[in-house]
Amino acid sequence: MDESPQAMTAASIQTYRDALFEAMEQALIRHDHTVIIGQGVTDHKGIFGTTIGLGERFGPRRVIETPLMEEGSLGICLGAALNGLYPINTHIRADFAFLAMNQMINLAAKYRYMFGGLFEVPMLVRLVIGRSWGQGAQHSQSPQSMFAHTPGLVVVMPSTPEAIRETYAYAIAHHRGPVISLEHRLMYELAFRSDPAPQSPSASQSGTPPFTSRLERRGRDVTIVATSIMVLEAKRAAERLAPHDIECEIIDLHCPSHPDRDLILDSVARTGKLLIADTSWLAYGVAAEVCRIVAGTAPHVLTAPVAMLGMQPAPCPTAKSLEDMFYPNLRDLMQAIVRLVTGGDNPAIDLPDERSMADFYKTFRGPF
Amino acid sequence: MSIELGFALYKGLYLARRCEEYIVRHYPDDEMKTPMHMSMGQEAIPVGICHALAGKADILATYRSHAPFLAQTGDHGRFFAELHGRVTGTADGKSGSMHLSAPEAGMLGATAIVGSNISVAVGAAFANERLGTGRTVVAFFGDGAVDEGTFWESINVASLFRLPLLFVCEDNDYAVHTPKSLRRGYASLTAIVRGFDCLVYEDESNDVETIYFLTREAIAAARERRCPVFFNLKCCRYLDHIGIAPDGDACYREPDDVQSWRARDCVATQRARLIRRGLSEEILADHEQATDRAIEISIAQALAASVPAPDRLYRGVFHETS
Amino acid sequence: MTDVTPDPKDRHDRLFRTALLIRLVEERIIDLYPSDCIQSPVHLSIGQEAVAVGVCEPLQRNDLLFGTYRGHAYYLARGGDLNAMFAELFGKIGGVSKGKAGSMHLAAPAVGMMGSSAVVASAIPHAVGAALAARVRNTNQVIVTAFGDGATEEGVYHESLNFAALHGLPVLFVCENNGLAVHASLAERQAYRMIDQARLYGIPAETLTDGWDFLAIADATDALVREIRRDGRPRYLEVATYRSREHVGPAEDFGAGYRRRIGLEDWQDRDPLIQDTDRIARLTPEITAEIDRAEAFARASPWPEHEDLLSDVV
Repeated sequence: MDESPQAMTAASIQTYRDALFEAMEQALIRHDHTVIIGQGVTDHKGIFGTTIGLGERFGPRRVIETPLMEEGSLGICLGAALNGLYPINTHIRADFAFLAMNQMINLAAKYRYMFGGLFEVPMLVRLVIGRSWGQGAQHSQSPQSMFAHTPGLVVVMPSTPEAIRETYAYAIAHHRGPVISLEHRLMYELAFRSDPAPQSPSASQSGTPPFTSRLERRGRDVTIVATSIMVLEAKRAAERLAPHDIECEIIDLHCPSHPDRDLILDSVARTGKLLIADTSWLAYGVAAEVCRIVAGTAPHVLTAPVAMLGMQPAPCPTAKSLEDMFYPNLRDLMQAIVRLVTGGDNPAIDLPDERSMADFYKTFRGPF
Repeated sequence: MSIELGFALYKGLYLARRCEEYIVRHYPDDEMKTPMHMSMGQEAIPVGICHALAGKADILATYRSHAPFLAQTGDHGRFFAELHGRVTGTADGKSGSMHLSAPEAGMLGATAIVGSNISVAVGAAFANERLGTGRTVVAFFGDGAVDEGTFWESINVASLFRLPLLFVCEDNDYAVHTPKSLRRGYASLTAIVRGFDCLVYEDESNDVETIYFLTREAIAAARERRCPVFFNLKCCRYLDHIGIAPDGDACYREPDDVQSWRARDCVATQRARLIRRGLSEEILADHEQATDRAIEISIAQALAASVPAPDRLYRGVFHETS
Repeated sequence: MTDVTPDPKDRHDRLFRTALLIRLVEERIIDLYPSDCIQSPVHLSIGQEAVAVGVCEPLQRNDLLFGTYRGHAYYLARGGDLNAMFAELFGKIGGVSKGKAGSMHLAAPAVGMMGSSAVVASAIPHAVGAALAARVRNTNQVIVTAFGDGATEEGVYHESLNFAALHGLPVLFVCENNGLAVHASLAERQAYRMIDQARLYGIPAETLTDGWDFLAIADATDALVREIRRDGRPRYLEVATYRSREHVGPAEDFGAGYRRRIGLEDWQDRDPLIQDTDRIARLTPEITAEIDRAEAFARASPWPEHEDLLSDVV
């Protein structure tokens, strides 16, 4: 890995993991008050490679190993933020952060408002969503809606290295409150090609905070609102359906706490059809929230019922046969799009025999 | 200790070790699609404790629960079926390696969130105490779990309520890859735990018979005094935190540390002791071969068993009423 | 809040005045409470004032203190503005937190009062984190976390003690031991001794039994704060104190059956805010006038508007 920032040009190829490493490294280089705190941040695996070597380079005052103490760890980050540091807190499974729910929901989310604006608690909390492959019920959850439900928390789900670079740099340099980022483990090894001429002006270029949604692809037939790795799945589906004259518009929700309502409403007004693809359960989640936005503002623009894909309503099982059913796959997604756009199945469209999203991403390395 | 009892302990050790050696051999086939946290090296603790309390205790374990599960149940058939994600496993193949359970055999489950089984064990012991079952509950956890606040909440309330509970800290010195020296600000864990109203024992032997007798002694004393027991038992995780490999080029601990533990391996030690006591090599070898065959059959049966049907995905999400 | 050694009599007067201010403020709250102009649950410090007064005296302005929902005393002892406190209790825009915090979340960052949490023990790691920041930034601050004996039963207390000891952070842990968690006694809750445990964590710890003696508490705190400033490592102070009122609300509750009135009488016999009648008589009129002004300020302050409802969320 070339660690110099100069090597990262607009058209470069970079993995999700390397973008995270770059974001961590840049945070420490550019901001003296930044510290990284978490279990495993200084070990040889370094949060799946995103903090490797930083402890040696920046010292134990900047990169701070903790015992297993999730609530204490997040509370310490809050206190450090109150006294002038910018803490980056890591949890290698989002599930582990549930032990810190008190600090996250009762304290960090409220520390500004509850005291009438007297305090700011700027911090970045990095949570990794476990990939499938037998991780089971306690290593696979994707809690974006639990956090986004609570006012005061900014929740982001970067789906590309570019999104990581922009969002983390902005959060660390400018945002004065807690930001929770959900990183999908399945994406870590993937290489992405940065588009030198993006279709939409990127957030950093336009100067607006990157805590909003992002238009990823234009299309006339259906609006797909997706999160995290489901954005990649939507792009794969869109590419396979384009030759069949089905044009998908893809919106990366990116920031479940602050979705771009206008972007979604404008798109659905043009396509008339909405499909939501999330990494978590549907009930009371991202799917429900996007439906709230449309149903509460312009239900008449819909020409068909909304289609939704997410995890099945059960804890995650480990048996491969069940796990493949538990997570949506490319076949499910393409079938749902075809049905939504054409009103039924289309035998002319060859649906891929891809039963497992995890299998694909285990071997696929990109670039995306 | 009698030869019979010593042999029984050896059988427990051998089964746990051998099952994991088969996992190491077969894992690359990619039929067991579940992350493995291996017990290898730490078997003497669950085998000694579970045999000492056989039939009189319920246990709760962690994601590193192969050895506790096998020590408590001996059921390698359902063990391998679960690792293979088959309906004949402990949970329809839905739990995998990290959540083994067998309530009918006193294995009340294993969880993948560090420390989260400890307060559950307190609750189980509380129920035993109130219902007068006379059973003991054993909570197995690692030294990393002690760093979690829930451990301290649990030891306090167990002591306060005088519950029949055995806290077993399997002290392998590492929370994932972080040694105790980077995690603990205090000099002595047992000194702090002694400050609670409970009995505290420490052992570094890694020896199954020592742990067996220690358990018998401690539980007798705890019944007398009506209080919980805390064990801090040193051990060595032979393999990496997760997966079937040794540490490899990972530099978080000295290879010599592991080697020195392997030199007094609990399985080999017990085998040598039985030979010294007069058990014949032939009897031992016969048992080992029979166990190996039985394990191979379990694996073959697991592979031949059905994968769960689609309807199983939703079964057990809520408590269905019949 | 000064390094200059004051005249002993002045110092006694000054600390006494702060303690009496807290007592009279809370008595005013009790008087006002039936009129429902304070629509916020109050956890009164009456009986515990001396701890806050003694602990805060040796602190410098940039030292930080984290409190609890029983936080009136610490807010005032640190020098928080009285008008803003009353307006906060009244839920008015002139409140220290614009009427959004109420009694349980008093804060005054300008004087190092860094907030108070209504969830037991949840501010303890904040102090440890602030101390970590003090270490990283070389600020030479001392960070104080004040908590009740009940907080020591929470797991996060252990996580915090361990981390502070592990990294040798400049934290002063102050346990206000009033022997009650809500209505439960120590014996019902703890199978350990707090002070011994703190020492076993490697944190030098001291116990004071005379929780009414603000001078002794101030002296002990001063010594501990000096040690922390010298070596940057944590210290622990346990002070036995007495909660004279119910857990939440303005009333006494000796009829509730969980404790006996005799403890109150023992306490009152030694409480300088009852016994030192000369000082009380001398200082009360001026303090009462100050409280009158604060109450008037609160009444006159406007209510927050709709636009305030959604400000400062993110």
